[in-house]
Amino acid sequence: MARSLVVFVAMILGVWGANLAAHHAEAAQFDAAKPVNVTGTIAKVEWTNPHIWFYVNVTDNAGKVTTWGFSGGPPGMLLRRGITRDVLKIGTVVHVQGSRAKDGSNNASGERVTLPDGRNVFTASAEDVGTASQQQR
Amino acid sequence: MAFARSSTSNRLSNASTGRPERTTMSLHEFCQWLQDSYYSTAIRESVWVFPIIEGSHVLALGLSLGTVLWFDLRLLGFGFRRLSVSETFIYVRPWMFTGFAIMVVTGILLFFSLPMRCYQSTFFAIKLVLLLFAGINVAVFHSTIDRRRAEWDRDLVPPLGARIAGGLSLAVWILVVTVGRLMAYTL
Repeated sequence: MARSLVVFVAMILGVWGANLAAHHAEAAQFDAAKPVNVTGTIAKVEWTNPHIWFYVNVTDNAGKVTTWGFSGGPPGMLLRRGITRDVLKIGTVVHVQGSRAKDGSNNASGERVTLPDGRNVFTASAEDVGTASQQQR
Repeated sequence: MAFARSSTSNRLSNASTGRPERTTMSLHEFCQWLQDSYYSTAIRESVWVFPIIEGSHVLALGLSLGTVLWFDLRLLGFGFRRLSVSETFIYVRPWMFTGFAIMVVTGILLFFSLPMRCYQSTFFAIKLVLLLFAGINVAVFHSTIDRRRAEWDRDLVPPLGARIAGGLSLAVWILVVTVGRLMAYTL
């Protein structure tokens, strides 16, 4: 009895230590305090597990083009929200809200995507992410 | 244009630069070839298949890591001491082997569906090294102290060599799971 409790506590401590770093992949890699709001043209879509990635070319006022990479949920999760791969088509001009990657690169979690017809889709991989998409509601 | 994250190879072919064509592929090329193949792409872009494979891989830890924990606790002399080491193994073996079979099959399928990500991941490389080390640990155990198992089979606390094998095994498998989990946390 006592020994099994020792093993149990050891496992809890080990798992807890590892989990302190990351509950959700979102919180581990993306910083909710660094919101991203860009408008640009979709250049590439990877409709893949474990996370979809879509790349948006954003042109600033000076004419310089930056490619932003956005990570979203898996295809199955998005399908259950009614989002299929034709929703994000190459060439579409979209407005994307997300949280910037903690490493400072031009990558972010893609949370809310506004399409040209005014539709708004939630592409994030978790329900409780980011401040950018939450403020919209 | 360069994408923030790109998995495609853009080296010039040997033919276009005048170098003799190689007949073998580099590891990078092999992974890219797998990535571009029909079934790899199908699994990677699937709605149900990938989640079932990945979910099974993680759930089977209960069978594989669970039984490893069981047997290693016996080797360490910390648990299941009323059973001899051999008896413990006889009970544990079918569950352990089933668990490992599922881990290997789902693991290979996961690699097959995401070869470029595995290729680029340092954590995956570490995981492979750890798996190799776990195998070496088992081989060393079986070829040394385990040969004389009849002498210590019924001991409450097995000899030092067996305890080291058990302790190393436990530590390595926990690291394997940790590193495998950490693969998800790199962009």
